[in-house]
Amino acid sequence: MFFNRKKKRGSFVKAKTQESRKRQRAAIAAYYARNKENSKKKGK
Amino acid sequence: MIEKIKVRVSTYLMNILENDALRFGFMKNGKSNKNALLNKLIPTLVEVRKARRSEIESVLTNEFNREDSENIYEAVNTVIDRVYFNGEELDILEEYIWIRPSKDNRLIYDEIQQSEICITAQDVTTYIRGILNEYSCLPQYKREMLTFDRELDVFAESCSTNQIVHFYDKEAQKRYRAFAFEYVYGYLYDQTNYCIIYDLDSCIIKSIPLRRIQDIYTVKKKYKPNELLINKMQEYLDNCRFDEEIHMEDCNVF
Repeated sequence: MFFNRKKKRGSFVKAKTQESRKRQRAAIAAYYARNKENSKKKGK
Repeated sequence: MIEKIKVRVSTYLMNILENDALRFGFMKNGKSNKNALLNKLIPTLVEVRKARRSEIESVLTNEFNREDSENIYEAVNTVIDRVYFNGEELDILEEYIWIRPSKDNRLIYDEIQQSEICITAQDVTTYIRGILNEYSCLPQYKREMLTFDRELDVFAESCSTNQIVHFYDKEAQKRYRAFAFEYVYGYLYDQTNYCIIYDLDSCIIKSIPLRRIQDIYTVKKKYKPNELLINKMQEYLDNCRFDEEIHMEDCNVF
């Protein structure tokens, strides 16, 4: 069963660095900016 | 032996099940197949209940030094279920679902009928409604993880052992042979859980939503990625652009 496992990183996955955290936040922001843009286009 | 069970539920729970059956791909003749969803889900939810009971017992024994922990842990668990997840007081039970246990699940329903309801002092329908009410309180990505618990278990195992994973993508109708890199909880975007893989046949780094994975298994053979591939996959993971793919030109398999 998976539900009672503790989350482990994949064996080749590196720990998050300050830089990778920043990139993830930027990716989230970009996703919502794209969505907003798309819904504006649909609204026209 | 239970052939079918009628469970009264709230409209909220009914809508959550309708949503999840469609979202997670449980369809039949173009309509949601809630029975298939429930047959996949209920064995895991029963295991969650059992695991919680043993956790309660362990806390009582180890942290409160209760020698009578065995006697009281079942009662504590039942009280938690009734107070938090009974649902009857929260919403009117104005709808019902029929559950027809599949052949594979008969044992689980027998266990509910014989053991679980004795322990929890509830009848079968109240017990099932309780576990479903608890399920409905979770965010969608957690519900997806519970529904595809076995698939995620195999994938997570493959991420840590590096054994090559085989599975079928039911939406793309494609079979994969892949190196499993990491899985990402669905707290981003539309709450999809993503499994990040390197497709060994077409040499592509991509993400497969957990709900699309079917017939998953690993083989003994392990995959050893080169430095370039590890760096590319790490970059892909950090960028969180899970709708994209990276085509790897050189393909140093094994």
